[in-house]
Amino acid sequence: MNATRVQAFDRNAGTLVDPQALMHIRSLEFRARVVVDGFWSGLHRSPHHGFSVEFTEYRQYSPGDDPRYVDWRVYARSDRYFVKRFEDETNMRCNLVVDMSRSMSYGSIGYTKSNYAATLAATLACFLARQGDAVGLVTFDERIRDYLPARHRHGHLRRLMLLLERDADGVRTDLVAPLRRTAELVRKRGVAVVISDFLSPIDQIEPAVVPLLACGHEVVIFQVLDPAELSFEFSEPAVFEDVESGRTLLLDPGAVRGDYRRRVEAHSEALRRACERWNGTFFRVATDRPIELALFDFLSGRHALRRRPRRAERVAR
Amino acid sequence: MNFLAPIFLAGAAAIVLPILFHLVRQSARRRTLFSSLMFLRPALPRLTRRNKIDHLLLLVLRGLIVVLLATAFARPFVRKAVVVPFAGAPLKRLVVLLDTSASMQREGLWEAACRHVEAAVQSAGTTDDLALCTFDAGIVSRIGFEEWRKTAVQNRLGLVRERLAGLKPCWAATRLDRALIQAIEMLELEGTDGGRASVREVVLVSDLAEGSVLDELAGYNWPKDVRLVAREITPRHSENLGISLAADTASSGERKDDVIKVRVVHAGRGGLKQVEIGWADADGRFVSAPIPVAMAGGRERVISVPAAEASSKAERLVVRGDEDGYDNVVYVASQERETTRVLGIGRVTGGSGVEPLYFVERAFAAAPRLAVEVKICAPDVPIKRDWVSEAGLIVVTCALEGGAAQLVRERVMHGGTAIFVPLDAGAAGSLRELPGCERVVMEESRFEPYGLVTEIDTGHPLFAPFADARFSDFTKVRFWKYRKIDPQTVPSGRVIASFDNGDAAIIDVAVGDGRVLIFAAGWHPADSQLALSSKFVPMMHSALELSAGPQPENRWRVGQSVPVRELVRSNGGPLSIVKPDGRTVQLGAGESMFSETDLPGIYTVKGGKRELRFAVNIDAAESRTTPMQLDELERLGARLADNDRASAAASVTEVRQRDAEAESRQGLWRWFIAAALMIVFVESVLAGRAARAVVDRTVQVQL
Repeated sequence: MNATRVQAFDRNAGTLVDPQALMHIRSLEFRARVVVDGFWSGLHRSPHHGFSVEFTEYRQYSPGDDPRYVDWRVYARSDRYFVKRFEDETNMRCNLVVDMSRSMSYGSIGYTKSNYAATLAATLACFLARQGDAVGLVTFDERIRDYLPARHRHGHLRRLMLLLERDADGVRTDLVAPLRRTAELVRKRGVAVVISDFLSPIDQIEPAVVPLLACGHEVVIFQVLDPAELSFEFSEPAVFEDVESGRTLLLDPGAVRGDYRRRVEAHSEALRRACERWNGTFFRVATDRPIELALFDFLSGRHALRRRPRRAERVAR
Repeated sequence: MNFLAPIFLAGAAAIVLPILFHLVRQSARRRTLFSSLMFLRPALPRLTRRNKIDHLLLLVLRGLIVVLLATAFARPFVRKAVVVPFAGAPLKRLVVLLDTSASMQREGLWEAACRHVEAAVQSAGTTDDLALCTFDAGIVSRIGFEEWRKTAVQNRLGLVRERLAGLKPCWAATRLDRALIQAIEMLELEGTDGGRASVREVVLVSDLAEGSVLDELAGYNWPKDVRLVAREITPRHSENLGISLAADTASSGERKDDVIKVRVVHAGRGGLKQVEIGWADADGRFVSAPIPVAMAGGRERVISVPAAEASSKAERLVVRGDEDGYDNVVYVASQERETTRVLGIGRVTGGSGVEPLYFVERAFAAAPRLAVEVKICAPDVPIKRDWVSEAGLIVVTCALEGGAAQLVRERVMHGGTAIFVPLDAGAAGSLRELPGCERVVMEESRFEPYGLVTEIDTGHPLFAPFADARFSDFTKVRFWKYRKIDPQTVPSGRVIASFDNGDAAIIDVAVGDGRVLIFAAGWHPADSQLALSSKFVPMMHSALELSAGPQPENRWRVGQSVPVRELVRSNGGPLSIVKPDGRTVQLGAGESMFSETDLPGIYTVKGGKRELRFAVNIDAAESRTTPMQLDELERLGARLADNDRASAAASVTEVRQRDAEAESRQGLWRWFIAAALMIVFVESVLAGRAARAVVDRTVQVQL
């Protein structure tokens, strides 16, 4: 099913926006709308319709309910009392947790991972807002930089965009403290979309995600990596300097390229397996990949997730 | 391409800097920011050839900039094209000058000199031209350029050896200056064969003794392209003692005949040397007690040696104690005392005191080797014919009678000299008896308060002793009265001395073969102070020599021409001269000079009225054998080839000036600077592109 969708979406890849061109749009909000509009049009042409996040629910009236919420139209048709549930109870709460550390400022193709991550977050936010879902934002480096609670109201998306437009000028990455703090801030359950390069040892990532899981959040991980970080296609011997720690290393790229790629793949694989254990979703996105595809991955992943039994359910069974 | 300041070319060594920078940049690597090093492990880069030097074009350009700047600072210029000799081996033309002077007789010198000549011949190439000359007082060509060219190459050395075999050092002096000049003229006469003869040399093989004469080199413009190769020969003995006659052989208070003064020279840097000087016979044995003399090195002394006893007939003074004996003998010819007569006609004393003849009697009292007999005849005494005919000088102070006047006229006509000192105007009558003086007119005149002789003709033999400016001052001799003679009345006369008022003081009248000297004023105190002055005696002797001829001397040097006919007072007829080696040389009737004085020793002249012996010695300068400093030759303009110090020093300044002018005119450094600037521009463009390419490839972008 999922593969069918991807193929269907790929047929429309000619309409996808090239990330290089997209990044030239200064306004992040407009950038996100371009993506979402294109995505919507792509969706409408696709054979799949209506896979929304949630639908409004009705429940039978019981004594003690507020008679203001009785849906009288339903009563007129069915002669039964039904009470309409609140939107916020029915809509998804999505918190975008975006890494703004120094390592996200790396980029070799004209824009940085941070630019890409911000665009991706904005696109998700725009898409979710258009669906009526509440979207929140947490940016962090070694600590929480900005926190915008999930809302669905006028002007909220605008504020979210402004926060995302801030430069990724953090010092270093510390996933544990910021994510723990996020779990403290976001009390209501929802989806936590963590967008980061996750260039930390895997044993440090797991403790960071556990608090979110413990709070009942559904965790979606976007690992954003630069193509150079994936392929390590450097040719000249050079002194490589870690942008966060300042540590240097004299390297012949040709000599270490193979080992590097293996280690990166192993790290991503370990992260993906961890996500499976958490019943979360893991996506590794190269920054030269069109945003629409990343959005499609997200939605299709969400759909697949909904088809899987929840963890509690699995435990109950 | 030449450089005025080549030291700046060392700046081109800075070319290593760009190379180093390129390498250093490679070794330091560029820094590449990367998101995380957690997946990387250290792996030192392998040095490959490609890694050693990057951006080769930039490196070349940068190196070129350094080189161009260094070249510009070195101030380059292009020297004027040098005359390139005609294709083929450059022709070398050289004249070998071999010294054959007396100093070359020292032990071991001649053999070494011959070896040097042969070496010079052997070193000459087959295409080179060579001439061999020997020199001492003159230069003699032994092998000319033409003969050299005609001789087959393999026979040339044999030819030179053959010519050298018949040579040996002679006794003459060293006229190095003339020899060098003539050698150069030989080269000049040969021309340069249209530039083929690119090297012209004078090879001087000599002991280069200090006594060599270099005077004429001082005014000689040495050609620029003729080099002097000095082959100095070192003698076996570094010291040499020489003896020669001192210039003044008599001391004050001594009779000249009693003492001979000799100059002893100790050449070289040796210490004190004990020698003996004395008269010796032909075998070199002392015939009298020798005088011991201590001679310090480099010094010379004048030693008074008592004259040899007449009985010994010794004619050679010998210094003994020196290894090289060529200059250890000085010859002194013994002369028989000759008697000549001075005839005075007039009174010795008069009413006013002593008269001129009084002083004439005393003027000739001390003549060396010449006994002068003064005969005074009173005016009223008849004069014998033989008195007049044998008189070397006749002094007339009074009017002559007819017979006496006739005798005097005859003597003068046959070469005699007469001095007329008319004490009054009436004495002019006697003068009129002489040809050319027939119209002479005199009148008495006086000076108020006194007169002086202010103009004399020092070229006249009478004033020959006063030719030197130190002795020509007659202003201390005062004259009181004189006989005014109108020179117009003596048409054949020549005024050789004048008073300060312009009147003639002495008139020389040529009469036949002889001459008459008319003194306007007497030298006695009544007329003047002349007799009491130091001028009088030399003047009288000069007057005597006018007819008697000069006294024989012992100062003839080897190679000098001797006026033997004058010495023996022979007017004509053949003379025979016996040389020291016994050979006899005939002197024809028309010849007066004897020039074959090639040996030191005693020469005997026969055939005249009397037999004359004169001595010929080697030049005293030949004893000064201390090696000459080559600097002296360089100072005189010679361009030494061996140690080109002087020519180099002289020409370096010249060449530098010429180079500086050429550099200033050409201004090539500007072009180098311009080229460097252009390359800087190109390098900047290329470097910018390279940097952008690197950025595009690897550097992260901070957005």
